[in-house]
Amino acid sequence: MGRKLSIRMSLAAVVTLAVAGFVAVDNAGVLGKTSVDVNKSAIGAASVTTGTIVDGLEEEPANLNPILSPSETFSEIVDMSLYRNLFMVNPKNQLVPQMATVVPTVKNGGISKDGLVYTIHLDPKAKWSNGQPVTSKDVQITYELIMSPEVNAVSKLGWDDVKSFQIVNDKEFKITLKEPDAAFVQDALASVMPGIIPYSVFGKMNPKDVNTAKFNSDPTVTNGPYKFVSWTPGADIEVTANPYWDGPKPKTKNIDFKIIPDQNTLLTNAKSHSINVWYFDPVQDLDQIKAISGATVHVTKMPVFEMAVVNFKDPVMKDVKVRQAMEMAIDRQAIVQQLYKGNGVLLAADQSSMAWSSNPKLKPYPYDPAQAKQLLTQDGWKMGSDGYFQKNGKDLSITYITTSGNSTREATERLIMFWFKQVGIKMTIKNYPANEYFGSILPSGKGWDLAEFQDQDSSDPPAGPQELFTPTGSADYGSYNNPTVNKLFAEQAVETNAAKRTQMMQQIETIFHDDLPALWYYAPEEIDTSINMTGYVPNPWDVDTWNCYDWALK
Amino acid sequence: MSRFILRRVLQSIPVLFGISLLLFFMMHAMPGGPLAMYSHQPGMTKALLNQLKENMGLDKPLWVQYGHWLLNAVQGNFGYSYNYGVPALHMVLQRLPATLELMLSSFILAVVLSFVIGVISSVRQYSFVDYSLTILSYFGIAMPTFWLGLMVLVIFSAQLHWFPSGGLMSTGGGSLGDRIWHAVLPVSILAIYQIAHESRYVRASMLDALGEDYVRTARAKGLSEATVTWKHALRNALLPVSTVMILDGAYLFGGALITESIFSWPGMGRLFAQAISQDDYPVIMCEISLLSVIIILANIFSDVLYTVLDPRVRLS
Repeated sequence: MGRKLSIRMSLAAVVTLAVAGFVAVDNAGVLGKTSVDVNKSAIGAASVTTGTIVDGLEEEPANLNPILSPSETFSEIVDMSLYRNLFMVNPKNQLVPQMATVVPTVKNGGISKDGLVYTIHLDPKAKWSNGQPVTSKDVQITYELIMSPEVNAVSKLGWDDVKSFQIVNDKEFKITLKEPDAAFVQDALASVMPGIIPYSVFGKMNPKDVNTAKFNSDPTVTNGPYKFVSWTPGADIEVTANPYWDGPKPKTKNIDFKIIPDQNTLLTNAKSHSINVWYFDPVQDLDQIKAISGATVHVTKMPVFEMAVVNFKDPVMKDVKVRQAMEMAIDRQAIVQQLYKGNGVLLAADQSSMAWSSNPKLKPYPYDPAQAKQLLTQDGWKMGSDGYFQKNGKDLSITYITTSGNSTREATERLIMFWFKQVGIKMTIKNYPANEYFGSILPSGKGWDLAEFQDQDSSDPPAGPQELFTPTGSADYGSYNNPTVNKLFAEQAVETNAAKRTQMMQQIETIFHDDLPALWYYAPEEIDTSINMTGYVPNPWDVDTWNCYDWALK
Repeated sequence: MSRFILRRVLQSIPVLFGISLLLFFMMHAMPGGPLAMYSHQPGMTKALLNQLKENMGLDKPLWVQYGHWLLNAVQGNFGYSYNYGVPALHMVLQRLPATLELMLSSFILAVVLSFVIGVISSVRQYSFVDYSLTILSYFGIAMPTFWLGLMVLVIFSAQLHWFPSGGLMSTGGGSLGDRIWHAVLPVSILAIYQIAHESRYVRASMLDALGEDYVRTARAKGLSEATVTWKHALRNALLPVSTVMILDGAYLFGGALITESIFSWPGMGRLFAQAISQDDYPVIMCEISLLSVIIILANIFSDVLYTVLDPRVRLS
């Protein structure tokens, strides 16, 4: 009898635990959900906006503090709905005011003639979601915390050029730079990350506590078109229209950022109309996506550059003729047609034609295997009996690496291996998980000759290539060091005359085209889908939630 | 029994210590590291990377880092997630209820159906039903969870619209019915593999039991076939199967990793996968420690259950 009871009790315990699981999840709001009372601060509750747009995110944002690392696209997507910096970059790569009244220029007196002093006027109507005005103190505390060594700031770019910050009054402040910085506004005052954080929350906080502040996952005070409602970890982030937002009135009351960590599941969600927005759709699914009823597919040209960075630690790769032969041995147009279904543009150097820093006179290298062979022969390479070029008894052999799990890149590698073999270059493929690839393999400069990945220009394009191809950059994986390029990058950074800066960048682009510090491939277009909604306009220079106030359900 | 449990709990302490030590050093030996994602930040320099390293405490010798971790972990402080900036234990506990819901529901479904299928297969050995169930079992064992999960989503969500395409509940919160509706597909997918292979154990164990003398005696006494099967044979067949099932239950956490990703289920499996991909050491250590405790407890529970099911077994 006692044993029967024990068995029954054991079974009952298991069933109880299962039920407890459901109940516990029911109570997840208590344990796991951070939230604010929407109604308390909603003085503008007479809102006419209705409905909820479900925005599918493949990755969960790390945190919702716009000054904290790491910068991830999906953090920026959510942050853009919650926060606004002083300025924003629109889809035409133009600066437009957000929390400030006017973009400072030398002409309007916002920038001093020597390019050192910036005077910024804040929008008198700009307010935080708690009803308090956005003031100079908010910008000042943002600057101080970003520059604090104890804060894991997303970027100090721009802010690290500041010599002093002077508050004139609540709505006006002056920033003095150590030296002219042509990209100061774009880098420090116009990005979503780092953005502006409220003095009312951080003004008296010890900098070392910022990295672990409750605000990071429960941002109760924001200044964007939407304000925070809740974050159910692993599930979704809900935001609702901010009644204190002074910009265009949101057409939809709520946005639910739903975390769906798998592209196939995102596709299924799109097909079942469970989401309204899907970013970065796989090009191989394009036909299926187009067939979804109510779906609008947005194919957008992007200021990105897919490339294979050259490792200059390998003596063979130091030879520019070898690099040029490799560039001409790859039929990049065929890759664009076959793998990207035509959604991409060939590059002559790193910068796409969308960027002011590109050089329109440059043309992409042609696909010319005969010319590639000829270059190698002129360079002293001789075809060996095994079908590969040889010099000093050694095959022309390279190791090609990229991030594993990316089917398009893996297919690209196989094609390149085939084309290299056609011209007599032996290629070995080694792929690594992204964290290992960027964290260990690339920085070590060992075990690879060509490393394929993609980089994207910010609204001020020189920052990316400067980081990749100058010795002081943290991403100069290939150890490229060209004194002329270094000098030009340093000069353009402090040049405030736009025409002169363009000229310098075009000169750099010409060197990059001829010298090939990377094999330049193409700029793939981005594919995003909006379903049963209007107002979605992709922004190649920022994240697509830039105009989320215009999003409306059909 | 309480002395036995106490002894097993004490024995598990060095096991847990060993697991944490091994894991900690293996984790740090992995290439990549938590700073990998920072190297691509705009304006990042080597000096700033070193500053971040110091802020995260990664600049200290490894044994010092482990010492700090251990000292804090025994006090329930598993550190802060590098990415989220929130306590790792808090993050894991936030995800635990969702995983418990998925895991325990799958476990119950798997146990019930495994017994039903296993018993039917054994009492109708070599019949059409037995062969059909055997083929279905092999299908369940052979099908990769990620593929089956996607197929189920495509058919039952995208095509037929019978079930939602993922998540824990509908937007804006859901009733109990809504949660169960969301749980049907992931629970079924997670349970399929367990049902498939546990039903084979039940079948084999039942066949052994049905061939025993006491079963023949029971039949000779004139007991009904149902009584013989369910009361005499199954009770004895339970012994070897129970251990397998309980340990399988603990290993459901592993299966949850894939299922949670496919069905956007906000549980520990997904958190673990994410932490691994980002080298978020505090979260990895916290989750593995918790899983180790659960598996050790499941082992102890299995031993105790054995004595309940078989009075001849003595824990002493």
